[in-house]
Amino acid sequence: MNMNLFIFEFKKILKQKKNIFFLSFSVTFVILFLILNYTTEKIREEERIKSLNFSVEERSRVIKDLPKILEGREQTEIEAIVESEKDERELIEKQIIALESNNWEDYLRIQLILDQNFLKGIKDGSLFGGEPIESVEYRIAMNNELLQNNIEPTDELYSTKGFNFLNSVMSYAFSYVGIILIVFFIGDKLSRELEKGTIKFLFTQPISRISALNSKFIFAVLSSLLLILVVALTSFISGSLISGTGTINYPIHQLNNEITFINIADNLLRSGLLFIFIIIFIVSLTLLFATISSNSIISIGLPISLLGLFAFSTERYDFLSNIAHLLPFTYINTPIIINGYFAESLNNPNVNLENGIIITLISSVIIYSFNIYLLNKKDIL
Amino acid sequence: MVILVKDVMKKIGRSVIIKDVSFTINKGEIVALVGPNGSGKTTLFKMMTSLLHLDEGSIKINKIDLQRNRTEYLEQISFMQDSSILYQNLTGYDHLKFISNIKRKSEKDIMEIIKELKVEEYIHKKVKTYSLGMKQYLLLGISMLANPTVLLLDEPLNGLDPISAEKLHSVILNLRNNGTTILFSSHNLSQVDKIADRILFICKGEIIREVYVNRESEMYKFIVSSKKEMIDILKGNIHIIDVQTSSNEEIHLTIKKGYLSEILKVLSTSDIDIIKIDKSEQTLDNIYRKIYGGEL
Repeated sequence: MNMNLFIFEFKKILKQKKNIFFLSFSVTFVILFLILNYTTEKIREEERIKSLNFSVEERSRVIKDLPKILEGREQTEIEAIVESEKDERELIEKQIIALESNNWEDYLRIQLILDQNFLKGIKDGSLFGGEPIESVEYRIAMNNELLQNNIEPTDELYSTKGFNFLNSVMSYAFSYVGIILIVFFIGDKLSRELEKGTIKFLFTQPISRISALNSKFIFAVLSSLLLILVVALTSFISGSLISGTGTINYPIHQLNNEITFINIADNLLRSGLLFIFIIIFIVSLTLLFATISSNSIISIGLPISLLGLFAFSTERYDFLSNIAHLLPFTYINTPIIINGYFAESLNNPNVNLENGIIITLISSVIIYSFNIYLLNKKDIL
Repeated sequence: MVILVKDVMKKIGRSVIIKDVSFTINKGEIVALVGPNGSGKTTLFKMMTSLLHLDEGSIKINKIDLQRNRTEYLEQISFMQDSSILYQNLTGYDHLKFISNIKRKSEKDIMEIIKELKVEEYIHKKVKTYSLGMKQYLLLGISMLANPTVLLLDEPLNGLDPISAEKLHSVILNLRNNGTTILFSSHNLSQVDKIADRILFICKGEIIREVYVNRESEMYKFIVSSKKEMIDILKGNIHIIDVQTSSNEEIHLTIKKGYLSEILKVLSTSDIDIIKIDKSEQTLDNIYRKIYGGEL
């Protein structure tokens, strides 16, 4: 690695307004997302209390109307049903008190009892319809996990607690949104120099073309990681300032045959690890297109078009689903690789973290080696 | 010899851009590459600096082969190209610092160049704020900082006002005095005439004529009664450098400076009638016109 080239690349990036724009854009995006989440989280909290109060009112009405509704049945049966409804109403009332006094352990325990009663009712045929069983089973598993690990529950979708909000933002950043942003951010690093002719300044110096390519590659990867790091830090700090840090051990659902969880730390670590390899792959690809075309529109546009094409067609065509684990583009949306959703959706269990790392790494090495060959042969007009 | 260009050929697509070009340049020599637009000057420079690959032939500097040892070869060279190669968002100083690190030069060397070119005022400003002349100075500074064995300059006078051109002229001569071998291209024939020791005329990718510049000579156009007789009389005259004839009774004599009266004395002893004598002010222009058919 030529340190001098590395410093020179750093200066170029530092003095480019476009890079400042991208960083500001990303930070603004995170702040707007936080405001949106915070507002939604508060609305959902209010809705939860309203919904519980409505349940209490609804049950009181049912208890009053049940003797009329069940007229003709045995008195003991009617009394048993009324008694059961009264018990449920009492539990919900206690749940409201627990929620208002911020006693989340009691809240969860009551929810567990209510959910288990619901499941029992469905199974013995005394209850019909309502919430899907899978969703109730998932909530039971999640609440058990929270209680066992003494973790305060938070809104899974819209939480603004530091670690939870970080996890939410990263689920976007580590996916197509992040990759497209990165392609726009670094996609013209080489092509712009070929277009404008500044590459001649480098290529007429006693440094090899490979060194020049290496420095661009390393800097593109590092600046992409820096962009992601800025987004991550902004998410965590802004979320923590508003709602506290939360816990990094918060459980994240995994799609397996049975309901399992990993914590935020594991989830971010696995997604982040795969995402680093995705960045390496995407940077290699944009550099290759830059060498071939010497055109920024192509070096940015073609990778994005390929991303779109594969995202659109992998799930649609069986032959692509069957070989999806061998295609590097499969692994772009890292969160759904880590939580197993994509493997299940493609019905291809080989789409996983380990294969993602291997395939993207092999693809990157092949693409990069081919690029070195082409760049060495290229005439700079 | 320092530069050896041998049987070099370059095709772009199906067109042959450079065809069997060969020349050598000795240490400390200043050679100009002259030719109309599209004649292959810039292509040849690009081949000599590895921007374009050779299809055939070889280029060596101090016996180091471009194709076999590119990095070591480029250590010997500095190429002053057009200003589009400069990074607009970086300062002039950033460029100099980069080159100084590559060529293992010190901060003191950078300061000396800045002082010598008198660019202190704007060297820490971004290149995008520079005028064309300022950019040319920066490019020259970059080339000088490298302290190369060979300096290649592609149209270095472009965009320079007469004072700056004069300054560049003196910088080039200083570099030559320090042992640098220089190859440059230019359209400005009067500047070429002042600086170059030798001129390579290039046309359609071929070196078609080589002229040694002799600043101790003058050129005169004679119209006489008998061209043949005049040539016979002047044959072997030690003051004559070159004789060129044209279709009518015109003769172009290149003679040692201040020896016209000696020539006239010799002619007065013969029967030749001198109808007219004109001094040719721009001898290089004449050669150029003759080669390129009036194109200038």
